[in-house]
Amino acid sequence: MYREIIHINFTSFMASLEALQDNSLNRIPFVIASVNTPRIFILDPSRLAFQEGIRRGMTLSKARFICPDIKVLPPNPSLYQQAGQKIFKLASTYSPLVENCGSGNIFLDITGTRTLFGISIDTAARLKLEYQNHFSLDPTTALASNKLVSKVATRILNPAGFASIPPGDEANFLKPQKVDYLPGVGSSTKARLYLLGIRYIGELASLNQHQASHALGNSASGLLNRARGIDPSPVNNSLVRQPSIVFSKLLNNAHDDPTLIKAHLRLISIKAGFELRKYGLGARKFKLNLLYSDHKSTSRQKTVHCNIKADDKIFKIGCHLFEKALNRRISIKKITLSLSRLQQSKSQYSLFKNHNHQLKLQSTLDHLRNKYGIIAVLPASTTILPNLNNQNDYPA
Amino acid sequence: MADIKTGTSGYDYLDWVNNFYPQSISRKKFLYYYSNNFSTVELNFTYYRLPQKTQIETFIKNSNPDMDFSIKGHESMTHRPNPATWKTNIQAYIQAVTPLLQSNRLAAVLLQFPYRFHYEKDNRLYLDKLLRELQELPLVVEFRNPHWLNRRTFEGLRQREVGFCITDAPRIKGVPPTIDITTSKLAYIRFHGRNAQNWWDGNASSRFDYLYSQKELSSWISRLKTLVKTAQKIRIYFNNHRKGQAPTNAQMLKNILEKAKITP
Repeated sequence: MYREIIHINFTSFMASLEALQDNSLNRIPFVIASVNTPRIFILDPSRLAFQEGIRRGMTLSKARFICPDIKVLPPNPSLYQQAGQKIFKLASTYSPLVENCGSGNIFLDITGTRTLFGISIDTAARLKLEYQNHFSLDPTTALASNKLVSKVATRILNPAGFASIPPGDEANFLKPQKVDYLPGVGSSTKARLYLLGIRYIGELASLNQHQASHALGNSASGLLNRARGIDPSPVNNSLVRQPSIVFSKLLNNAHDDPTLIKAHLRLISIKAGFELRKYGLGARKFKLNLLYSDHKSTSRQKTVHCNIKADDKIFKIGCHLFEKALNRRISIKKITLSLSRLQQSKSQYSLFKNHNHQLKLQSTLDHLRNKYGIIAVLPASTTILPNLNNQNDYPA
Repeated sequence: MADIKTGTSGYDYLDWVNNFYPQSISRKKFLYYYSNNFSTVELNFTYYRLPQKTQIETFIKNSNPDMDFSIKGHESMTHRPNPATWKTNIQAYIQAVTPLLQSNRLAAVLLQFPYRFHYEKDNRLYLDKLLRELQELPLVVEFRNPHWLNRRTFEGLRQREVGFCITDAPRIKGVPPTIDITTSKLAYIRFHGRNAQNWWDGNASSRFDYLYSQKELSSWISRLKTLVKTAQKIRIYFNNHRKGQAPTNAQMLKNILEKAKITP
């Protein structure tokens, strides 16, 4: 039995939401960009701006060169977060398996829902209609038997459209598409593939394992499978399985001050630790992702041998990862800390008198935060953060 | 608002009598009766034999003036090009359809390429040559080979202002993926039916033996809403012609579109 996976992609998500707030924006090209940074990068171009040739990650000066009268709007993170939640909620009415990948990207696994909703292609089209009717947004929608192929299909269709790839024809569909559209092919892999004369996914798929390993190293096996349309990865629903705890902070004005970013990281660590302990969990794997204002990102991860659940230890690992990840001289737009390999955390009782004052302190802090809110007690290093009183500024 | 018209692929079917045509109507009056119910039709006979100018003029004369025509390209253009007669055939074809063009009643010329027309350099060059020869006509291309469905093809069609034919067919292996994309001012949609069981094992007639349900056709509203944003003209044809199912579904979709206020 094959799976039925829908990929919903709201192109120019931020810009579309802004245009919904102000109808006049529909008639002019505009971009979302943080203007309070030394080098200004486009976070999201509107559809008209996209048609003009303006792309995400482009510098504002280049965008102005292409389109001198372009309007620039500052980002409105709370608007995008709220819309993202609503979009996820609507998709959840069609399937219990919905994965929110952020920036208006959603995967749904609708396998086995035919009795409820009818043929899968019609279900995908109806979901698209619901978004058109309820949110006045028109997402690019694709149906395929796995996440990979549905994602490639929406990439080909962008900025708008609908596609359905029959099961069994995944490799056939991918064959004539450019390698650029294959998830996992970044700029360096693409450059390497182009150097080898491989421009289309079919050309990559035709390599044998030996050739691919020689050309691409460790990533060869995964890329080869993807080029052949093989992707067994499930649609991860955090409500069904809690594989990780993820906290992120979208910085209103992109920052390049490490002290301030570490203060954000400290607060994120506190939130993550509080969430962990609430469920009696500890984490063994930590991943920090830095999204730069040009929309490129770097991430570093670390796996430890024992369960970690204390705020200080999480923050210490976070700082270590931050130092390793920070390798570009470009302002940071978003920091994301993911805690995974979660396990029930049962500490071993000491044979002797318990001297673990740190544990006691943590327990007291949790008690206070549970009663008065997460920011009731904070380390002094976080006082430099702006809008600290706004707890909702740090949603999960 | 886009100009949307719904019709069928062909109209001259004897098994439509009592299903669509009343018993009392003679075969010669089929087209006139049809044109009072639908405002567009796709003519398929032009694939099998080159049309004559007089024939086309008769179509114009025998139909309601509001009706427009989409006509299929001759097999010598798409399936069996013969270098010796190719150019002559194309000129004869253009000459024959000129009355439709002059009377502003030619919606599109559909060039339907078979599965064996692979996405290869020689075929791409041939397609370019064919499109250039026919450039004075409003063209639409339907590919049966899925390898043509890629961004390079779409961009090529866009540059030449040639439409891409969107299809609705069973979602089974070997049937080209459904891709809703507009490459010209005209969006062209063909409903082949969703008879998965007979698609590969049946004959030309049983393959298209399918009646779409109201629910299935209603799901097209969202897709058409997207298409109207980029296309100025939309032509929709039902090819599930067996037992008059095509006109039944065409009428059903017309009603759905009117209710959804997608029609002008």
